[in-house]
Formats: sequence, structure tokens, C-alpha cells
Amino acid sequence: MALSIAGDAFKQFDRLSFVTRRPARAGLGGEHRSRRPSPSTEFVDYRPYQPGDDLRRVDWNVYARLGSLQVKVTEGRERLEVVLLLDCSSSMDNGALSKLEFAAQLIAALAYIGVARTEAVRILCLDSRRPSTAFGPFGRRSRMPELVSSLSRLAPVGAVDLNAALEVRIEAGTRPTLVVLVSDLMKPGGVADGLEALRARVPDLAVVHVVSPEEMNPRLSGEVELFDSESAEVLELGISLETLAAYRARFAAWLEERATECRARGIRYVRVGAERPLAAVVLDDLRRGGVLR
Amino acid sequence: MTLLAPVALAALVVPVVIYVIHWLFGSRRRVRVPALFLWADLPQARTGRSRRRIPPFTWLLLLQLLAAALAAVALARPVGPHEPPRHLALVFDASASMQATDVSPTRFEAARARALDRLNALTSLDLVSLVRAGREATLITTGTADGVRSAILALQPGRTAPAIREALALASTEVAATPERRGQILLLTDGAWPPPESIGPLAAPLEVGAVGGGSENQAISSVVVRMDPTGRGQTAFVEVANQAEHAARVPMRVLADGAPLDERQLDIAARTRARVSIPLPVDAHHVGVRLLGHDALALDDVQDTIAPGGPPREVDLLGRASDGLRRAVESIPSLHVRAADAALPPDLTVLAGVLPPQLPSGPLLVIDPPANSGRLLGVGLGSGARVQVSHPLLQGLDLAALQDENPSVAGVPGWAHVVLGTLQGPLIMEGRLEGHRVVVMTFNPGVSGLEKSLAFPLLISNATSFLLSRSEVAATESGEAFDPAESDIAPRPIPTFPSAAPVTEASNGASDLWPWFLTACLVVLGAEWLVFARRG
Repeated sequence: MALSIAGDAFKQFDRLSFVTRRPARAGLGGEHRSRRPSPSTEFVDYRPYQPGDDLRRVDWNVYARLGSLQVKVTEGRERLEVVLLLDCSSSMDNGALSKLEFAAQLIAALAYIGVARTEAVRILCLDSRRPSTAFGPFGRRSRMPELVSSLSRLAPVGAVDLNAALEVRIEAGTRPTLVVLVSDLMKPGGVADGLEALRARVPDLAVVHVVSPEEMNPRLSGEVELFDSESAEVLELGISLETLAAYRARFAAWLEERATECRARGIRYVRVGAERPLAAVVLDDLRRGGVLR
Repeated sequence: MTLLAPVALAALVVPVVIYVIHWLFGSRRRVRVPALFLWADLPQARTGRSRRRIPPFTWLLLLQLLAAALAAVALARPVGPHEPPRHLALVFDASASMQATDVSPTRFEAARARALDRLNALTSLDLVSLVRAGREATLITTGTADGVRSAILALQPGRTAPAIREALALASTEVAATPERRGQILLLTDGAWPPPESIGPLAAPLEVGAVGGGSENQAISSVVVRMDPTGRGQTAFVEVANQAEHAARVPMRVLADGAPLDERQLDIAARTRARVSIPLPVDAHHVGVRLLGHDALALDDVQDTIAPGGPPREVDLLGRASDGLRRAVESIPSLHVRAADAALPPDLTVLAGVLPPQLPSGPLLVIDPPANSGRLLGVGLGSGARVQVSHPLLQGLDLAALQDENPSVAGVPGWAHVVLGTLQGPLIMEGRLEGHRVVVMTFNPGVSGLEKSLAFPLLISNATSFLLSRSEVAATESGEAFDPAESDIAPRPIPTFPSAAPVTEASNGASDLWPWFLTACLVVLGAEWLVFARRG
């Protein structure tokens, strides 16, 4: 898979950053709120003085005005630990516009946004390997060529059980703040189990659902043999207008189920079309979906 | 465009079969989808299996049909219409040297294989003439390549020098008879013959297919047995030639009446001859000489002759025999002139000035026959002006003694071969006439004074020896005597023979178009594979 990313293609994303609902905890130096109070200039609140408090933090102006000892509470800023999950199953490599190629470009853009804000970015591939293919963590923009090169070497790996993959992909001992899953979610029963297991270990989760135009509006007619990209099963079908209408209805319902599945668990869900320009997806769809700001 | 193998067009049934296969089994388009569960149990149209429909002409089907059709046409061997049919004259050198085995199995077989290869490249429209250059040039057959093939397979080499000049002239005449065809003469030879006299421009370009090339041969040049002057013994004079380019040691064995008599080794320098004399018993009759070494030509390693020893042979002198002729015959120790009314048939009959309607039995020596005899009518053109210096009839003879003779016949009869001839006609001929071995001297030796010269008894002795030895020893042979000149099997430079026709590039036949069709077929197959691979 060849990723064609120009050197300054991501410049337009310099002002973007990830939106997280939980405090960051990947270490000082970032731009996100920390859950740990720390001496800094970021004022948050006052609280009554208690024995043992540092007298340097007492606001003597307030004491002069009110006659009570109040201590200034400040908050530190920390880096965010972002994990980007890329679905590498063969269903992502289908159609004239490869969803996998589009998803890899999107992952590269998200990684760029992360490292531009000095976040710790890791990339994990949902494949059948143990341990799974992983890149990172990346923390500096200078490592972007290495990241793009790693993504270029990715190839579809065949059948992948998304539920099982999501359950085991986050390694024990690591507690990322934000996980972004980029996938087509092609699983007959949905990926609720996998998302549930992931959500139990990750405080903030976002799903980017990639859909190709051939899936939305297939242009088929006559006698066809449908060939499953992952299982290699074959289904002989006589395609009629009625068949296509039924498929579109089923696909729309399936998409809605996936969106409901995520939202019901407090997971941000963004559906993007693989045919759309990358910039439009990043600047419009992901911002509108609350993944970026 | 002409098809050389139109029966191959039956292969055009293959595209029909391909279409029927598509019709019977359908050709579903294979489409790759991310997952099948979204398509399961959808309402669908009736499938092609339940009701057969005419298969759509997809690119794949069209390319398959086109490839099969192109292959079928290629099998039919189309040829371009612009090229005129050819007339190929095959001239086979059927001389004795073509039996040399320096090319496996023989030079003649190599030439035969080359000729058959050339025939394979011809079309059914082409014409082939087959000319055999043996002692005479003979047109074997003219016809299509398939018809001539069997004649080539039946062709056999002879034991004499090739009549190359006459054969080329005959081939040229044949080609000239079909001016509408593009002619070509192919001479298949080993080149072991001296340059012929000028033949003039040929009617078609000449291509020489040379076979062989070695000179590794030793030969018995001559075997002559003479009675000793004392009459108490005989001596065989044997001459052995080494034609190779290096010295050779040749084992030789002499047989007398079938029993080994002498065996010795002869050391002979390159391109020279060795002569030995071997005493024989006075009563030895059949004398044979064998070379026991291995060389390229076996024909000249064996020679048999009749010795003058043994009981004398009975000779009848009929007609107007002169005293000189009678004396010459009677002086030969092995002959006995008997009375004409003897009951038993003679061993040899000498006919002087007569040629009776009913020929006597046995070999005949005919001297000065009546010129008006139908048996001596010449056929064809030419007077037979030639000299076969190595022929046994002329052995040891001073030909100057015959230069004043005038032949009584002008042409060469069909049954005869000229041994010595002039522009006025043949002087000495030999052949087989009505089943008899015959030597004819077409002049009266008494007129020119030849009878009184030393050459006459020698000529009569050679003739009687030739007739008796041929009749007794070589009765089973085909009638051709081995030409000793053929022992030199080394090729000579082949002269150029000018052609009146423009020289065109030698081609193996008409312009075949099947390679183009086959190439197109392969290209279409490649495109079909591409379409199939892209479709998934």
C-alpha cells in the first residue's frame, strides 16, 4: 500500500487538537488538564487554609479583605496519551477506493495532529498477530516520515475478529487517555462486545466508521458471484432492482445500529466516506463529531 | 489467401464449443464485497441456472472466441496470395561416391533427408521435378511435393560418375517449361566430380546442397590377370590407390577360386598408387581382391575378375570375320574359336559385319554392324562424343590408333553407353541388348588399318575379357560397372552456373501467414488473461 502524503499536506491541521473528556496523564508538558493538582500558574480555585499548607500559596490580599486564610489552588497541564487503532482486515481493502488506504491516511493525519501538540501517539493495527503490529509512541513531528513509512508497509491481513481484537489490543499496564478506532466495523453481529471491553479500560473512546461508496450504493446487475473478502465464501445472486433496494435499506439500518451501539455507550461516533477528501474529513467531519477541535 | 491445410478449419468448432460452454454453465460475474452477511437472504432475480439465456458477449467471451478462431486459422496454414507457386527441380547426384559413409549413414541418405526437408517447406501448389544424375541424367518424375516424396524415397545411387552437366540441363529445361512459376534448381551433391563443360545460362537460380567432404578412401584401381609367356602360370597385376590426404597402410587379400591365396599390407603415400604383382596358379579362374581396411567407400574395396587360366571359353565367329580379327581372337590363350555348327551354345559370339534378327545366346562382340539396323537407331540428341579413359575396354589402349576411325552410326541407341565416341558418332559402345551383354565397335578396323596395329589385339582382348568377366562374375549386378574415378571422393570446387532468371533470395516456400495468426492468438490470450485478472 503506497501512502501519498505530501510534505506540507498536514500543515493545515496545525491548529487542531484532540478533544478529551478526561484529564491527561501522560506527563507534564502538554496542553491538557491534569487530574493532579500541581504548583503552576493555572489558577483554579480557593480553599480554606489547612495546617501543613505552604504559606507561600496563601492569598494575602484575600486575608486583608476578608480576614480568612485562603489558599490558591492551581492545576497542571499534561500530555495526552492517544492510541490510534487501525482495522487491517481484508474487508477494508475493497472497492475502487480502498478503505484501508484512506484509513491509513486518516491515521497519519491524526498522528500528526497529536505529535503537533506534543501528545504521546501510538498506532496499533487490528490484525491477527500476537502481539499486534504497533508503531510508536511518537512525540515529535520529526518522526512523521518514519510513521508514514510504517503505515505504507501495511497490507490487508485477511479475516480479523474485531471483537476479539478490540478486547486484547490495549496492553496491560498502559492506560491511554484517548483511543480512536478507525474501522469499517464489518462484523455480522456488530462490535458491541469489543467496544464494551475497550471502554472498560479506556476512559475516552472515539470510533471513526469508514464507509465506501460501493457499499452505500452498489452498482450490480444480473447474475453475480459475491465473493467475501475475508472468508472467501461465495454467494450466487441474481441482482434485480428489488434486490438493490433491499440491500440499501439493510445497509442503512446496519449503519444506524453501529451508531446507536456507540452512542449508547458514550462513545463518540463519526461516519466518514472513503471517497471524501482527507482535509474535508479532518476539518469538518471529525470536528463536527467532537473528536477534534 | 490460400489455405494449405483446409481440413484444419474443422477446429473452428472450438469457438462454438466455448460459446456453448458459456451458454450451458453461464458466466457469472465475480464481485468482491467486504462481507456477505449484508447480502444474505435478499429478494433476488431468477438465476441463470433455472433458465438458460444467451450469454452476454462480454470482453472475456469475445477474446476467447477470437483466440480460438485465430488458432484454428493458423492451423489451416494460410499462405499469402501474392507469391506465385514455385517449380523446384531437385537434381540428385547418384554417383558412386555418394555412397561414402563419411556422413552418417551415407552421403546419399544425407542428401535424401535434405531433399525431404525441402519438400516439407513447399505447398501443395508448388511443382517439383526430380532428376537423377547417374551415368545419364534421368527425369524421374514431376509433380507435387507429396507425389515426388515417394520417388525420392525409392531413389538409389549408382556406381558411375554423375552426369551433372546433362542433369542440370534437363532440370533447366523442366523449369523453363513452366515460366509462370518461380523456378529454382537444387543440386544435392558431394562435389566429387571434375568441373563440367560450360552449360550456358540455366533457366533458374541454382542452389547447391553439399553433403560430405572427406577424402578418406583407398581403392582397388585395377586387377588384371595375365598368363605367363611360358603358359605355366598366371600373374595378377593389382593397383591400389590411396585417395586420402595422408599415407595409409592397407591390408589386402587375394582369393583364387574363392580360396585365400595371398594377404599382405600395402604402405601407400598420400594421393598415390601402389602396384603389386601376385603369382597365381595356372588353373585359377576366378580371381578376387579385397581391401580389408575400413574407409569411407566400400564399393571399390572389392574387385573380381576372370583369369585366362582354366578351360578355354568357346567363341563363335560369325559374319564377315577378317583374318586380322580371327588372328586377334585366336591369339587370346583363354579363348577357343570353334566350328559354327557346334551343338552347345558358345561362351561368346563375335558378329563381324552382321546383326541377325535372332541374336545368338550369350554375350556378343559386334564389329562394324550394318548401319541400317533398327537396333542401332540413335535416340535423343548428341553423338556421344566422350571418352571414358578408365573404362576396362580402353585399358592400356593407345587411343591415337583409333583417331582415324569413322563410326557407321550417328546416334546413341537407348540401350547403349558410349565408351569412346566422336562428334560423328559413337565408336565403342557397351550395354545390354535384348538380354545380352554387348560390346559394339561401330567401325571397320580393316579399312583404317587398325587391324594391323598393336592396339587391335589389345582392344579385342579387352572386349572379350570385359564380356566374359561381366557375364560370369557380375551376372547379378545391375549392369553398371564401377567407375574407378569415383574412388576419389574428395569434393572439388563447384563452379558457378549462371542463371538467366533473376536471383531471388532463397526461401523455403510460399510466404506462410500462420506465424502471424499464431502471434495474434497469443496476444489475444494475453489480453484475455489481463481482463480475467482485473475482473478478479
